[in-house]
Amino acid sequence: MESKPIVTYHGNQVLFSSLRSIVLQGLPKEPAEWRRSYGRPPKSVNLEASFVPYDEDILPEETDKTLVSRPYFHIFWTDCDLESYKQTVREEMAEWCSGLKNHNIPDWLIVVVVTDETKVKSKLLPRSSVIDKVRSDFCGKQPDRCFVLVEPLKSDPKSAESWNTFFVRLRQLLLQAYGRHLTKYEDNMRGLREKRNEAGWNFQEYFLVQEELGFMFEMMGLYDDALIQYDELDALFTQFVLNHASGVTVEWLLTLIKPCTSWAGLSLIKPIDREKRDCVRDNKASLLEFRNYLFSRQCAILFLMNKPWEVVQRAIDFFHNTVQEMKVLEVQIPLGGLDCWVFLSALEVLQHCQKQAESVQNKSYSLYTASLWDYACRKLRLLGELCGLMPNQTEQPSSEQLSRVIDLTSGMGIEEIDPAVTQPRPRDKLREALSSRESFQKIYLELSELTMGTFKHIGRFRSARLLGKDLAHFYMQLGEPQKAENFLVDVEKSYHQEGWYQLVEATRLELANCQKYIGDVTRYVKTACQVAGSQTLKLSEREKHMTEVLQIADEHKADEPITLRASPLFFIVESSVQIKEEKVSLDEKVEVEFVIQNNSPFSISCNKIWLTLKSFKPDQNVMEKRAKVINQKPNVFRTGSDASLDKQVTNFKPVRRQMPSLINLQASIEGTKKGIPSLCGITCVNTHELLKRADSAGGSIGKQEPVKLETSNILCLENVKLQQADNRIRFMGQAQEAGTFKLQQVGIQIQGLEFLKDLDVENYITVGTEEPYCLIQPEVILAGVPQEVVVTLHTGSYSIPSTNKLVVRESPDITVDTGSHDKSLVLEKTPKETSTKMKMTIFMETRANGPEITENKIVFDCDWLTRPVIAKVQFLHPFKIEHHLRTCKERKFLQIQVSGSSEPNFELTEWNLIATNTCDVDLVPHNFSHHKLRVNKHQLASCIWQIKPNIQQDIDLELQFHMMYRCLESGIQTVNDYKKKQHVIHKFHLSHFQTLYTAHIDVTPKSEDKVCKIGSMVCMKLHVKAMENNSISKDQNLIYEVSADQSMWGLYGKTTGTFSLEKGDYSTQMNVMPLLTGFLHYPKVTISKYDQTASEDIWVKNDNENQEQEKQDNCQDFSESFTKAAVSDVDNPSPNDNSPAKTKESKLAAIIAFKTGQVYYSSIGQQIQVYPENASTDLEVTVL
Amino acid sequence: MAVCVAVIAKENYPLFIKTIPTENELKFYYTVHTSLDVVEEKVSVVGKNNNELRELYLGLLYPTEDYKVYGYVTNTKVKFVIVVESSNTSLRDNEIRSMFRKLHNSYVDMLCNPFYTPGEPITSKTFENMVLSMM
Repeated sequence: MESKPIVTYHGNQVLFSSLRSIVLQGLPKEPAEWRRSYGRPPKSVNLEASFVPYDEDILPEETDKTLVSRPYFHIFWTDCDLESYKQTVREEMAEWCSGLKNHNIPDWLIVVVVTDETKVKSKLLPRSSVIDKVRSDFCGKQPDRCFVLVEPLKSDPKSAESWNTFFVRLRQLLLQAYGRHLTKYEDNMRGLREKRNEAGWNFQEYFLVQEELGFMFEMMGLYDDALIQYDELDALFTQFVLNHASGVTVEWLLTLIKPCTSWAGLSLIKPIDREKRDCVRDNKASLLEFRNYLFSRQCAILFLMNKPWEVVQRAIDFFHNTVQEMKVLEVQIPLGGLDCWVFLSALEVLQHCQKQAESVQNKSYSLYTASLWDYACRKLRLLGELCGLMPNQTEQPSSEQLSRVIDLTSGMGIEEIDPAVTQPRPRDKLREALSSRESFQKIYLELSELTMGTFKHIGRFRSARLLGKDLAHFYMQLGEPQKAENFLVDVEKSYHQEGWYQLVEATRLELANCQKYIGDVTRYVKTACQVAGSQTLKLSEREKHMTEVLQIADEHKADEPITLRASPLFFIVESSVQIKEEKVSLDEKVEVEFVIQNNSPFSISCNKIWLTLKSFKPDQNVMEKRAKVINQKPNVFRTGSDASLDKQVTNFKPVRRQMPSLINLQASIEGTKKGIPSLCGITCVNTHELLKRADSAGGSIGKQEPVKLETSNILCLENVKLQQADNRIRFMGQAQEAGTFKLQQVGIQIQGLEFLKDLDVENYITVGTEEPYCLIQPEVILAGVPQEVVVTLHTGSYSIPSTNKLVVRESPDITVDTGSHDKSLVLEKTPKETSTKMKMTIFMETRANGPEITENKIVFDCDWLTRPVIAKVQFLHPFKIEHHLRTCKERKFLQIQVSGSSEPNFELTEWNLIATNTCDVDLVPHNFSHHKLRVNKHQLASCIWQIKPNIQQDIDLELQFHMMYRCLESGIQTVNDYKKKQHVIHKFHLSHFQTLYTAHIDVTPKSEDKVCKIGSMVCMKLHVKAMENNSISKDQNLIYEVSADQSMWGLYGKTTGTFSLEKGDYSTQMNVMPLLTGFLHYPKVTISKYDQTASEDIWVKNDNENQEQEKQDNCQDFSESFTKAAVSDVDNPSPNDNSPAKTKESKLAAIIAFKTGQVYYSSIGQQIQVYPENASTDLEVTVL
Repeated sequence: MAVCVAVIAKENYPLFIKTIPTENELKFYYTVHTSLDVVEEKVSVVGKNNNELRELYLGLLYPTEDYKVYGYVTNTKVKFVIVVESSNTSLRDNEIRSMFRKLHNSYVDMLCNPFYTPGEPITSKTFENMVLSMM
C-alpha cells in the first residue's frame, strides 16, 4: 500500500524541506519495538511516514473514526535565533500548540535545529538560548517534546549521533501516538461487533471499520495482523451465511443474495480495487463480488508476505467455500455462471502466482497448484459440456447452447486492461475457449496436459491416471480412439496392480468400447472377453460384448484363428483335474476330467475343446526334486494379503513387476556322504526369480501371451456346449505313445477364436512300456540230467495277438526239447500284463570240474516282438572229480575221488581208468570192480589204481577216467526217455612221477638212557639216497632245508645245506632241541634241486611257468612245485644280498622243487616221545 | 453423516467400501482411490521427520466441490477414508476424529475374529452395521 501514516510539519518550511529527505530515509532505517495492549506480543516495526504541512483544518475531531487518513503526529521545526524567537516564532508556536490542544491532540514535537555549536556551549547563563526558552515556554511538563538537532546537514559524528537520538525519540513518540489511537479504535470496533445481532446492524459498515484497522496494520508493515483482520471478517461472514442458511435471516445479507448477473472472476492485478470497495461500502456488491474483493485483499497481503503458495492453497478452499455458499444461500445464477467464475478465478490465481512465485518454484507449491489446475480443468470441461462444445461429430451445438455461450460471455464483465500483463487474461482465454469447438479443444487439452504434468511432478499418479481417464473419454468423442486407448490401458494397469477390481472392470468396459471403435479385432476381443467375464459389470454390457465376440468369432472362421488367454471367460479349475488312471499301458484308454467355469453371460457352444499332453522326460533328478518340493512343505511363506498383489504400489514407483509370493526353501547339507556334514542350512530354490532385477530389464508386467502348443498328443472333444458356471469335461483318448506326459494346455475353440490356458498342475500320465520277460522254473537246474522245466512268459505291455510261436534258440552245450521239431512253443492269444506257462525239457552236459554253478541264458524268439526275450538259468553240476598221486618208496598209486554237489543221489557205475597215449604202463585197480558207488552232497566216492610202468624211463601219461552215472532221485523231474545212464569223462596228465630220492631222518637222544627230554640237545640225522633206477645224473646239486615249528623244536647248526649224491647217498646231522613234551613230529626236511648257475631270467621264468602250471593243472597235477630264491645265509656269499631287489646284480642261485612223488620222505609220519626234564611218575603229555 | 466409508489394505486395495447413494458407487471408488495419493504423501512426510508416534488421523485429505475426504492410517498401514458432503457443515474436525476412532475400534474387533484372515475383504455384519450407523 502506498499510503503511509501522516505527520504534519510546521514552523520553518525552508528548514524542513532541506531536512525532509533525510528524515524520510532515516525513519524506517531501524526498527522500533512496539509494545501492545491486551497481552499481545511486542512487535518490531519499521516506521515510515509521509509529511504534510500543518493546517488546523485537517486536524481530526475527537469523534472522527478514521485511521488511515488521520494525521497522527505534528512537528514544529525551527532554527531561529533568540531575537526572532522572541519576536515571531514564539507566537507562532503558541498558536500551533493551542490549535492542537483544542483538538485534544497530545502527539507533537518541537525540533530546534542548532547550526552553531559554540552558541550552545558558550552560554553560561541558563535560559538564555532558544532551546531553553522553548523548553520553559511549552515543554515544562514534557521535556521530551522538545528536541535539539545539532548541525543536521554536516556529516561529522556529532551530527549523526544527534540524528540517531532524534529518530529514536521520534519513533517512540510515533508509536505512542499509534498505540493510543489503535487501542481506542479497536475498543470501538469491538463494541460495534458486539452489536452484530441487533436489528439494523450492518455488516458492510462493520467491514469497513475492521478493514480500516487492517489498512493501518498494512501501512505499518504488520502484514500478519492485517491478514488476521481479513480472516476474522471472512469467518464472521461465513458464520452469518451459515446462520442465514439455517434460518436466521439478516437484513443486510439480502442485497448480497440478489440474483447474480455477473460472474467476473477474481482480479489480482491491483492490491486494492477501490471500485469494488465502494461497491461493498454502498451495499451494492453481490456475493461473488464481495467474496472476490475479500479474497483479493487476502491475496494482496499474502503476496506482500511473499507467500504465493499460500494463496494457491487458500484459493481452493475459497472456491469450494464460495460455491457452497452460493448453493446454501440459493443465489440465482444462470447455469454455468458459477463455473465460469471458478474457472476465471482459478486461472487468475494460477497466472498471478506463477508470476510471483517464479523464485520459489518448488514441489510444495506444485502440490497446491496441481489441484487448482485440476479444478479449473474440470470446470472447463463442464462448461464445454454445457455449451455443446465437446467434440461430437453428429451433433451441432443447439440454439439453447449457443445463446448460453453469449449469456455467459456477457456475464464475465469487462476486464480492466493492465499494460504490465502480456499474457492473455483468463477472461480472454475463456471467451476464446467458448467461441468454437476447435479452440475449446485446444485449450482443454492444453490445460489437461498441464494438470497431468503437475500431478506427475508431485507424484500423485492416481490423480494423474484419473485425469487420463477423462482425457481418454474426450479423445473418444474427438474421434481419436488411438490416443484414448493408451490412457485407458495405463489406467487399467494401475488399477489392476492395486487390486481395485471394480475400477479395473469399469475401465475395461471403456477400453472395450474404445478398441471396438479403433477396429483392432485382436485387442478388442481380448478386452471384450474380460468384460464379458466380469462379475461386477452390468449384465446388459456383458451380453453386448459377448455377442460381439461371438460375431467376430463367426467372421474369422476361415482365417487364422485368434489366440486368446482363456482365463477371463473360461476358468479352468486346476484343483479339479482328475486323471482316472495315472498309469496306463499302451493303447489303453486315458481319461482326464476337469471343470471349466464359463464366466460369460450365456452358455456357449464350442467347436472343439482339447487338452495337450506334453512329453515329460522322466529325468530322475527332476522327478526327485519334484518329489522333494512336494513332500517337503516349504517352511517359510511370504504371504501377501492378496495373491494378485504382492507389492505395495507407491506413488513414486507406479509400476512394478510382480514378485513370486513363495520363497521355496530346502534343507541343504554339504560334506562327505559318509562323514559328518560340514555345513547345514537352508537354501532358497528360486533365488533367480526372487532376486531378478525388477526395474528395467524385461520388466514388462503383462503376462506372456499363450502360445499354442503343437504336439501330436492331444485329447479332443468336439461340439461341446459350455453352460454357464461349472462344466465337467471328460476327455477320453488312447495312449498311443509310451512315456510320461504332463497336462500342458487346454484349448477351447469357438469358430475363429482359440482360448488357451497353460495348466500349472502336477498331474502326469504315465503310459507304460513294460517289457515282456520269461521265467524258467526251477531256478536251479541240475546239469547232466535232462529235466522238465516250466517256462512262464509274462506279456508285459504287449499282448500276444493270436496263436503264435515262441522259438527257443539252442546253444552248443544246452539241448532243449519242446516236443516239436522246430524247437518252438505254441502260445495262445494272450492279453497284456498276464502270463502264460509252458513246459519243455532242458539238458546241459555236465563236466568233471570247474565251478559248481554256471549261469546260462536261453533266448526265445518272439514273432510279435522286435527283440528276443532272454531268460536266465542256473545249472548245478552234480559232480566234481579229483585225482591224487600217492607214493610208497618206488611204488605209485593214483586215487580218483568223486565228490557230489547236489542233494539227489547219483549212482556211479562202470568206472574205468585208461592211459590213452602209451601201453608201457599197467594200471592195476585196487577196487571192487562192479561195486556201485553212490555220491551226493554229503557223500563222496574214491577208487585207487597202482601205476606200474613197464619201462625204466620217465614217462608221460595221458589218463582218462570214465564213469557212468544215473540219478536215483525220483523227485527230480527227469524225462523218462532220458532216464538212462549218462557218461562223464575226466581227463588228466601225469609226468615225472617216479621216485628219484629217498630222504630219511633219524632223531636219537644223546643221553645214555636214550630218553629224549625237554631242553636237552638231540641229534638229528638226515640220510638221502638216490634210487637205483635214478636216471638223473648223480652230480645234480641238491639242497636240503630243515624247518620246524619254533615252539616245538629249537634248531641248532646248519638248517640248510647243499650237497650232491656223487656217492649214491648223503648224510648229515645237526642238533635239535625239543621244546615241548609229548609225542613230537620230527622237524620237516625238504629236498630241492639247487641250480647255482641259474640266471634271474630262468628263475623268473620258472617261477612264472610254475605258477601258470599250478593254475592250469590245479586238479590234474598235485605236485607241490615251487621255486624259491636262495635265501640261505650259508651259501650266499653276501648275506646282505638277500632282498630281491639286490639279487638282480649278483648271480642267482635257484632252488627248484621236485614234483610230487619224486622225493620220498620215508620218515614223514614219525614221532618221538619227549619227557619232561625232571622225570617223575607223573608225565605231562602234549598230544599234537 | 458420512456418504462413503472405506477400509483400504496396506497394499492399497480395498477391503471394504460402503457408500450411501449406492447407485453411483463407482464415483466414490474413484474418489477414495485418488485420495490414496494424498494419504501416502502425508504418511511419507511424517515418516521422514521422526520416529515418534505418528498421529493416526491425517485430517482433510482433499476437498472437492461437493465432498470432503478425510483420512486415517493405522499403525499397520491400514487406511480408513471417510467422505462427507461439503454442505454438511455440522461435522467438525472433532466429530470426524471420533468417527475414525469408532471405525478403528470396530475394525480391531473384527480383526480379532479368528475366522477372518487379514487381507481378505471384510464381510462382517457387525462391522457393516457399525459403518452404516455412521452414515
